[in-house]
Amino acid sequence: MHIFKTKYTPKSKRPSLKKDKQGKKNKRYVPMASTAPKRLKAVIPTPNLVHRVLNKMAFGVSSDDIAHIESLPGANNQAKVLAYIDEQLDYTHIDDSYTDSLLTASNGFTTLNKTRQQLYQEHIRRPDEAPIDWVDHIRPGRETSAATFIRALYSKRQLFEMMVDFWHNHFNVYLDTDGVPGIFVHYDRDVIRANAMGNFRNMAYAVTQSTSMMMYLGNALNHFEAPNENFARELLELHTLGAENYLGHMNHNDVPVDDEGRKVGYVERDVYYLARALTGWSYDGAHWSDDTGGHAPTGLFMFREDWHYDGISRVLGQYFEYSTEDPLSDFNAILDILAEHPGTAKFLARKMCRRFISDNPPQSIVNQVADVLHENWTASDQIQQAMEVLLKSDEFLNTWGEKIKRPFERSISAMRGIGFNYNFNPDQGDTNTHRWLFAESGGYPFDWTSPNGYPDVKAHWLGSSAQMMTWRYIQWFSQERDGENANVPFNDILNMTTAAFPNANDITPSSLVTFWYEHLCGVAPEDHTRDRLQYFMSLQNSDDNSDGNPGGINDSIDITDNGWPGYNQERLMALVGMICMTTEFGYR
Amino acid sequence: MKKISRRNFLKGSGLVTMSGLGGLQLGFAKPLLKGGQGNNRDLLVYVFLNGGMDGLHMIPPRSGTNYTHYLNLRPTLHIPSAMSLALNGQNAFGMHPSAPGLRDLFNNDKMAIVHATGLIDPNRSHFEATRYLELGVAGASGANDGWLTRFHQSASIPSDAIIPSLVPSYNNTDAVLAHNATLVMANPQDFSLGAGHWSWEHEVQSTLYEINSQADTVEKRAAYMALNASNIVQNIDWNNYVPGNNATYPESFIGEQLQAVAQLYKADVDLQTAYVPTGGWDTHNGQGIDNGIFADLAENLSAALYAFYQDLTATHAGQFTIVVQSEFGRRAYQNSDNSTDHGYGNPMFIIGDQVIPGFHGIFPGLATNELFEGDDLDVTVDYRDVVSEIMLKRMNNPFIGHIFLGYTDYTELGVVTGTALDPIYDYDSIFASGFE
Repeated sequence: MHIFKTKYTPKSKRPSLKKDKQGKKNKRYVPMASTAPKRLKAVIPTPNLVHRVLNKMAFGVSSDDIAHIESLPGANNQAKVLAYIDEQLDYTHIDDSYTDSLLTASNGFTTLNKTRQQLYQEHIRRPDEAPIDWVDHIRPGRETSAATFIRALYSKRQLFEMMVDFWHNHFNVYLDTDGVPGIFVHYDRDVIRANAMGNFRNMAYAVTQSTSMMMYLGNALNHFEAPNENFARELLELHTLGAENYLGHMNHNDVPVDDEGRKVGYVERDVYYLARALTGWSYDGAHWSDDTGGHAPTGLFMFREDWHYDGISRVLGQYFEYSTEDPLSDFNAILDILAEHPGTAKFLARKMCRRFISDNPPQSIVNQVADVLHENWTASDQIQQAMEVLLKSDEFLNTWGEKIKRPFERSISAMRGIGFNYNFNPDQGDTNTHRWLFAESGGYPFDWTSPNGYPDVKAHWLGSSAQMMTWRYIQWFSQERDGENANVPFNDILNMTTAAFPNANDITPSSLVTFWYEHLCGVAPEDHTRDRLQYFMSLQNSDDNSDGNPGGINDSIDITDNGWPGYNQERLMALVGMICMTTEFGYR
Repeated sequence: MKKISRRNFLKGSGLVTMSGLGGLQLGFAKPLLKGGQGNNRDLLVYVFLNGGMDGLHMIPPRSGTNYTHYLNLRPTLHIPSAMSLALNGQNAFGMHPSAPGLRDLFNNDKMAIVHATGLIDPNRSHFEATRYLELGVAGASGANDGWLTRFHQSASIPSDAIIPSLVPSYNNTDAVLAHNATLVMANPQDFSLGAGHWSWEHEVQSTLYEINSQADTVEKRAAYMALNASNIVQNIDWNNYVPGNNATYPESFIGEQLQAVAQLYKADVDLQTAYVPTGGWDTHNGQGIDNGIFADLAENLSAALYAFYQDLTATHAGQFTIVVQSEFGRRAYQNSDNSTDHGYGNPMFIIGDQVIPGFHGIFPGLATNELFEGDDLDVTVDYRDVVSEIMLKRMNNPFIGHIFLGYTDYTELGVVTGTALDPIYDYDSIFASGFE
């Protein structure tokens, strides 16, 4: 609704991390003299195919998924990976009952199965007009956010969850828009998830009719007497044809046509008319008069006939007349033109390839994906077909490091790498702490305020704030412990280490760095990185301000001991968290 | 041939800028760099109002035919002349009632208002208009760095400058695209790796710093930059700041952002530019008159700018210039939601001790035939003329054809005092003649 909102919580209301720092001197880090970088390397080390695809089409590498891919039929990794892609595309046949079992009332999820009308009448506006507590109003949104972490972390339908993330950003709705938290479950479940691997036109239509988008971009009060252009403009610029096909204030008669007679792009006059075709598209409850006569507003889509522009619209050179017999037909016909348009297919294909392949994907693969989208624009599995071409392309399978993980991807892939096992629960303070700490990264789900969705290029995410706050979050959760359960860590680092080294004497700074770095990054560390990590792991005295009394890099470490002054378990978890902060871990 | 040499130069200079950040410590700031203390250059603070600020709401007409047209265009969404705040020396325009701080700055001759500025080519897309402004280009372009990036490149700022550029925000901006020396930081108090178990958390930060100090990739350089800045930022006492002139920053994000700029500037680093994005201005609905979204935004912006000016002028009078701009204005007439859609021309504000106060530029009028396409306030001033004057008189950088790619026709408006350098449009030929 009010895009580019300011997000602000006064300092006094922000939580701080309470930590026991007794016994630790307040050290101050003094930067050491460093070597100025001389030149950029042409290549970065490339991990194996399984590691690559799990970082590109999934939220990172988990031990379970590696084992699963290895169990698939096929003579070699390539064949197994192609089998994995087929399996992921056909996602409804993947058993995801474990993830589903976490999203139940016993884990604090009480709104995910409510209907659109229930959400509206129980979380936004009750039929009896009784006030709704703020915590109840925002609950569906909070649950959706927590569920998004759970699904990214645990779901076996990893590609599907990546697509859900993609479309949420494509049709971005800022969750903290006035009213939206109360009904966001509907947007996530019935608009995005229901269509994420299906048909684009169906999804765009569901978006147009959704309460959330109508609240966010204000189309709910779009009246012919003074149309509100906000949604119409973004539907053209961000959702369908894209800015690459925007020709500004050009006269519509001057817009060129393609071989098949289509206008190749859109101009201001098209925005003007599309806004008019969308007048009267609203939801029950948007207008103050909707409760007259004792009616209880439902939040459901509502067409306001007397608000609709009844003249002739001209969009992309074609004329559309309003029909009282079929009052939604004018916009529907326009949406058909937009969904069929090769410019839309090209725009969508480029974004999909940018998401999965490279910030600047090769035109060849963009064209292939666009052709599939265009030729199958009415197919119910249009997006799935396009993704198959994308994922089986050489450009997808054999590239590496042309993307970096955004804060959410880096954090979730770190969780998957360390066997993180916290079950996010909207009723728990720990889940709220995750929210606060991770939101500082500027990448919290559904927290991008403007309708273009999170940026998908390296340059944006290399900013110092995004990096530092993501590292900080990883630093915190990789050592997070369960206060309700004997302070057991919420990760599997110690068990995974023990399993990897049957002979405990083999656990040394050197072997720990080798094992964890290769598990997490898929390659061996460079010498300089290895040296620094081994040195850190060889420190034995956390109180020592000088050098921590380093032991030998091949000396055994007892990881059952977490006592003063070495805190071996904390040191190991800090090492593993730190590996998740390296640039090599951040590639995808 | 020229173009090739320019590209080579950009690559080379970029490497120098990004590489030389080793061994930073407080107390080593270059005397030559400190704003106004010898390098003849101000601190430039660029406040960007994301979303399209409604200039006709912020600086509403107050009398005459423009006021009559204004009432007709916005029958239920105008600032009545009895409500707007009077501004010195004229009665044609007033100030939004929620912005007494800006009124005071203006009436005390610390603020200039330039009418009807904007991009030369109208564009009603937030994302395109904003990108063109951030990249410093007139329209679609292959620019791969931002206008502030090119300002820094061409301003002879030493490669070992300490935090020469700050974006106090959670989000990066294309204005500093490809400028690794920029610190993007929303929350200075937490800008360090202090969230782990106390036993080893400090060693984690130093180890990660060392790993990235051999920066042979773009990603490692960016990581190194963030960690280096963190070391400096941690040495600043952010919690016990006493602003100059007893200024009081409002409890809002823009208040925190501007206070962070002031604190960092006074902390003996080499801060030269701060780009301060602040959102919420896309008022398609709920805009309000003296209450509502716009009034809240105006109140915070006004109070924050007023405090920031008071704070800085106490110790750095005449050594800073603040520019306030939005990507476009809004439609001259109201929409069905008693609010406004995207438009075109819009005022810019220049604040500082060296402004030439009052109104500048030409207000093109609100009659139907005066509006752009009958819809929007037209643009009569190329915004680049405004910024370029500051570059030439306050920022000691004549390369305005490089900062604004494709810009060739600077016209002086007279918004700030100072000795103007001659504009140089052709950065390539300067390089060819041996400029380094």
